[in-house]
Amino acid sequence: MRPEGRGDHDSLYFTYPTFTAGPAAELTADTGVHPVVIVGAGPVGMTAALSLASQGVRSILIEKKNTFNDGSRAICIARASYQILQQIGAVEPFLTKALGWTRGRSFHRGMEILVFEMSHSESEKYLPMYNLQQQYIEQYLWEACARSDLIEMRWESEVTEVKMRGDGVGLRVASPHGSYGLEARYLLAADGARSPIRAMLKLRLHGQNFEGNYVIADVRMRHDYPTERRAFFDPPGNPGGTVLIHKQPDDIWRIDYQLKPGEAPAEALKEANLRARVGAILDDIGHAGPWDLEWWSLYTANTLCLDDYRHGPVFFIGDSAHIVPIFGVRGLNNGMADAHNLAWKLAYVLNGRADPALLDSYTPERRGATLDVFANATKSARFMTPPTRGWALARDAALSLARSQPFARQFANPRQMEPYTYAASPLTLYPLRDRPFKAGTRTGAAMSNVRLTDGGFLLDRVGKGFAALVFADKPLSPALTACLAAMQARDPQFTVLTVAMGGAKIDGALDDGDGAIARSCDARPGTVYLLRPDLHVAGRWKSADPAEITASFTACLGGRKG
Amino acid sequence: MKDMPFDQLEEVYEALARALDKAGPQNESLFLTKLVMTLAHRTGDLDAFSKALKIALRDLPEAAP
Repeated sequence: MRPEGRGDHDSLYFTYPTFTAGPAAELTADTGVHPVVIVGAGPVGMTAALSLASQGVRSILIEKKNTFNDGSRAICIARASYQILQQIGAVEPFLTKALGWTRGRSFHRGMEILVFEMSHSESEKYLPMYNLQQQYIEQYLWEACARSDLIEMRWESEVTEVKMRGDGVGLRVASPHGSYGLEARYLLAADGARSPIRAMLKLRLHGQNFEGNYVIADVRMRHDYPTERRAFFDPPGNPGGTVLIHKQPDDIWRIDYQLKPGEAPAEALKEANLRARVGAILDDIGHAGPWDLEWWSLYTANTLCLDDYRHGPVFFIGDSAHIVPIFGVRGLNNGMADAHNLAWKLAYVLNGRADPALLDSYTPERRGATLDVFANATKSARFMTPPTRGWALARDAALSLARSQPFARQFANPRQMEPYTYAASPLTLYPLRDRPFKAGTRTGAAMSNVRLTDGGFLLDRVGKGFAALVFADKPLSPALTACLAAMQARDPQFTVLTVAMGGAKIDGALDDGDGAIARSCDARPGTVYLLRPDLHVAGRWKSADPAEITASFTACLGGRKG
Repeated sequence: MKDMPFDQLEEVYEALARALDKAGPQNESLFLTKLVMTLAHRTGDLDAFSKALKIALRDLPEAAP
């Protein structure tokens, strides 16, 4: 919602473009079956299109609206999402505009009770978290889409019918130029929390609705405070409730506050009431100057998801598949990870390198990530909105103790999640090979970065396909050489990165200077990490086992033998 | 973990009674909850805590709602 007298797209800082639909080719010709149609040009749909394009796959992106999201919902972009943005060629404007942060502070009744530092080190290329308004996120992704020859955007177009075919889907699309049929091998539903595609297929989300209503309001003000996430429990400005404050670019601040029990959302959303509440919160943080109201919205803490993210040739990505509470900052981030996870799998199936069985790994991997978020979100929701007197007493006791006792302070940390580890995935065959490692990225997890001696980063050296990181102090054994060559034959995008240890001279190997890569991976000569195209670790071996490496690679191609 | 001898437990009993009065009826529940969390943290024994929880839940005079 916006203040009285301002339209939906009348922003204080953002100029909304207006897109129009061109006449679709299907109105006048038979265009055959498209490999992929994506419904919904939000951050998740566009990430999917860009991710597919980076793998050489063409897609059509269909969007009902004629511009970007009317307000800024998602604002926190995690490090793992930046890595995805890099891989899809869109990260540059994000680095220029977004505000990065590493620290959060929690307060109880005006007293600081917790300062927490997010995991960060010199070896990382990106900060743990960045704040950026959703409109900019969409604009930058759209600019990247517009640069791609493989992505066709169709604005002002609405899917009105979905028909399942034996080997694809048939869509009916309404556009200003008329209605037309569109045939696709695969359909990605990135059409949001109220997904019309989900409704048309009569699929339902399951899970929990938590008590408690929250308001997010963006205000513009000159306020001097570093980019840190502030959480206030029981502050004078919102007694009994929780308040979260984030800094965004363009002097925009996100105020996220909880309504009181029994407070009617419709009343709370009225501009005058909202201004009073926000004003009281700004008093708390010592802001005395003027402020302008930009936009506001209501949310509830829900943990809902589909039982299966795949319905034949239809895949649900982002909010259409799962709804998570906004305070965990996993809506956008997990949605982008969904898109990226699915895109390489679809690409490898469509270009014939992988068996379609690979697509069955999408739900276990990404629904697993959702359930992991649910577990944490449930804890956060109960802490912020205790459902009973017992939960309220335990919360109040923890906060009261946290004022003087460090042991109780972690309770005041709004959990913001690390990317999920695909340890139990059908693609992860050898998780027990982690045992001899004392450091480095676990099997199934997103690979950690390492700063190289030339100032670059390890993950910049990985291409668009699978990759093997091989540690050696002498030329590789014939068995390992043959294993790597066989994988390269099956994936033309396969990258072999050899790291020379102990000053060994090996052709084409990375120089590991003082041994930073080896230390970070807890490697010794003979150690191998096998990376998937989404930079998750498919497997790692302290001593290379060519048979197991080949088996892991084969599993990641849906079981297709070489 | 070793049980507390009765003479010391009597000291606990008396100190607890005095502390409950000091906290006052309005703060009773909060005070007791803080006390339990602090003790649980100090003992570092989740099993002992779970057993104590079961014991304390027995023979409560008022029926739970």
